[in-house]
Amino acid sequence: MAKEWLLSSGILMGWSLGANDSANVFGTGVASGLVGYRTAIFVAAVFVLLGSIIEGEKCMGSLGALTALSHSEAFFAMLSSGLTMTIFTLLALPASTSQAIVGALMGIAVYHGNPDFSALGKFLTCWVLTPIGGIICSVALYKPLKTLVMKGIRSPIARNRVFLVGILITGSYGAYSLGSNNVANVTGVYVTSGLISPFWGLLIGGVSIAAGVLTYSRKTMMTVGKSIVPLDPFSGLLAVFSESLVLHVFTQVGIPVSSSQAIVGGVLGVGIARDIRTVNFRVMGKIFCGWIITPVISGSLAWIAVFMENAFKGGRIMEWLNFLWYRFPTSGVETYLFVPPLVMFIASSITATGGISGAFLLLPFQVSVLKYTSPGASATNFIYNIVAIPGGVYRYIRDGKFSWTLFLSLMIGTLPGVFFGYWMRIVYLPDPKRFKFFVGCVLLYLGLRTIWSAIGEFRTAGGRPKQVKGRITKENFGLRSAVVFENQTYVFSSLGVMIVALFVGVIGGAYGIGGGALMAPYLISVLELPVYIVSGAALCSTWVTSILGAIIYAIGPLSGPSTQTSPDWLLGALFGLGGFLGTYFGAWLQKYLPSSWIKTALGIVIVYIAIRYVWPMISGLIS
Amino acid sequence: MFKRFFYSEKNEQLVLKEMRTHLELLEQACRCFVDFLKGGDKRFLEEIVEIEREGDIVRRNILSTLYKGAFLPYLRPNIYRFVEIIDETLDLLKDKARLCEFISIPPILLDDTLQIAVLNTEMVRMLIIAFDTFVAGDDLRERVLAVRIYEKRIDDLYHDLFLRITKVSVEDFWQGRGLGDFFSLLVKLSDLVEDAGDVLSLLHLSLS
Repeated sequence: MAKEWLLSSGILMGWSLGANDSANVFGTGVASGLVGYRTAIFVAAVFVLLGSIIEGEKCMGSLGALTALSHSEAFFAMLSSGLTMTIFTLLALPASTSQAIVGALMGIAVYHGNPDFSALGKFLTCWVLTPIGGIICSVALYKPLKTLVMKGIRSPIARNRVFLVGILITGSYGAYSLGSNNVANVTGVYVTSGLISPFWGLLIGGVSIAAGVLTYSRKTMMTVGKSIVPLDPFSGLLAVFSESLVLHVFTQVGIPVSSSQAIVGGVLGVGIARDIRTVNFRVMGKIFCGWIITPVISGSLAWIAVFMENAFKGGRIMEWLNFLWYRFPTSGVETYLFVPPLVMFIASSITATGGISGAFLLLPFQVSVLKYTSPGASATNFIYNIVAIPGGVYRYIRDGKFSWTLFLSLMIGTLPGVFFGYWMRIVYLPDPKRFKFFVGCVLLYLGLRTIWSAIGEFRTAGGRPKQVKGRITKENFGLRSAVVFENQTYVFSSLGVMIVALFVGVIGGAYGIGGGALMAPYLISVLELPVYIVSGAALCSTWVTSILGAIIYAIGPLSGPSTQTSPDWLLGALFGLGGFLGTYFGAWLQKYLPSSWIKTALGIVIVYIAIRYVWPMISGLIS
Repeated sequence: MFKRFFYSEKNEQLVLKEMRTHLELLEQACRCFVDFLKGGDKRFLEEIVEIEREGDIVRRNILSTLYKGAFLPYLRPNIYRFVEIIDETLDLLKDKARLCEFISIPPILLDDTLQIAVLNTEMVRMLIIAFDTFVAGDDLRERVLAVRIYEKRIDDLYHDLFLRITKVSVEDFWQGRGLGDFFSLLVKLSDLVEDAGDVLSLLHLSLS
């Protein structure tokens, strides 16, 4: 694995840490309207970076005391911690990044059979002391500071100013402490494994935390802030100050700790100082559970990851799985039987969360990974659609959102187009180099459109379209067709749709996709048809086109053993099975993931693949 | 980006100054009403209506300054509430003045009415003193307690007055209804001023 890719899990962890934990320092100020969101994220990002660079090194070495790591183990440690944090976030359980990372390192140490429990003891003591430290700071400072503020500053205007400036100063201090203490959680394992130097560790860690603060902290700031806001300004200020102080003290000790648990301690301390009855002991119980469950889960995941890595490396797993090795007779592809469904399950799960069909990524996988470049690869792509799509089509028909007129118009245009596409693929694009250029062009369009769609979502603050329960009540097919949906009549030119569908069909026929995804933007943006009508018809048209496309490739006039056009039915079905399950899983996962960010990432990946496919041809032409 | 944090406290000072003006207008309106009851000169009633209009302008100034960002968001709801109560009190005085243009207070009730109106004026004065104490950052518990004591005295007086109202004969239904409304408003004013005193205490507590 390339060095840069190994850092990706740490950068992601840093981003997530910044997005989540900045709420602990500026949540109160932003949620109460004391500090503007932009001011807060700017100040937090600057101070997080400063904290990382100035004092971050103090915590860097401590993680190395737990176990020695190879480069790839460092990657797996971060990946396991990240997964644990995601699971805990989805289950709304309190978890700490520091605890997840220490758990992962211990998991790896257990795998190697050399866990150092004496070093772990130091971490455990610090975890317990984090909320307790927050409580002690708040209780100890409550009365003296209160007396100072109440007696020293009498005028309401002056007190108002003290709180206003105080929230900015404590927030900045909190961000500084967060950066200095938690940067080790982000890049500490890479530094101890020798993958990067301490300077780069601090810089990359600080920048990734700051990026999380700047790009995705608003939601958590508002949520966390509102739960602290019922405190009066003085108590809120003191809680944040106690948290910052605790983090800073542990930075000097050299142990990364949880900022969330420090702020909980700070808030509890204020409660105890005012009246012990206000303390919620259930919160304490949850934190206690987190101390045990977080490292155990993270450690188990890391153990499994390292075990798998070593098993693959040594070839043992391969030996066990040899009975699943299979040579697909039609395509000649050789791989494990579980690989096609597994790959498409993962790919579809991710693409479905961004609203894209996995079929687009299937062809690059066949061409580049399985080295299946003959026209039969396009036909196999069609088989994927045949298996993966029916569930979605059925849902649209059941909900009354399926337009027969639009479907007919699409089919009349697409079907001849698919035939031309088939002809083009066999006559003009049998050469892998040319075909890759063609695939690259299609992917480039798709990637850019995905990025554009993500930008649109960012502009509209990622608002999801509301669910519409209406049904199609009347339809009329003709040169100008009409569809009545939710008591509104939509008229479109069937001829226009057919002509555009013909061109899309040519591309789809050659690539091995139904073309529905390429048609949808035209139908929605140009013809201004509602997305609820378009989706069902486009999906069904893709399905029927795929069936006919597969048949054309199998028995078409240009097909034969020499042209290798026949689809690999078994391979396609296995891909389709994975895609079918992945699409459903992705649709469920979509509720928990920010679609705009997934679209951006997907768009960038697709554009990257597209450029890799297009570039050889272009560079050849230039030279 | 940071000017709210490091520049002058002009907005806060303006809000406090306007709140003081609002209270002074209330006191002035109360005095006009007392003067009307003493001499029966209806020009005082017109003056109350004018003062109420001025009060509306002051209220709008305060609200717009708060909207610009004066004071902590945590304090603003109570400041809004205080200003709204004073405004409602001024409205109530205006309604009372309008009523007095159409009804005549029976001579046997005039002394007690005057006494309640004087106590209302003193109560507002005490509220102003409490407000000044708040601005100075001192303990205002005693001032607010004094406001409550005034309210209690007015309630007692109204109780006696009410017993006598029932014995007064009226010419027609509208005269009787007008008189009933007038006395209700007279005593409601002290309730509102007491509420304003409580909100002031809350504001003081919010900053401690």
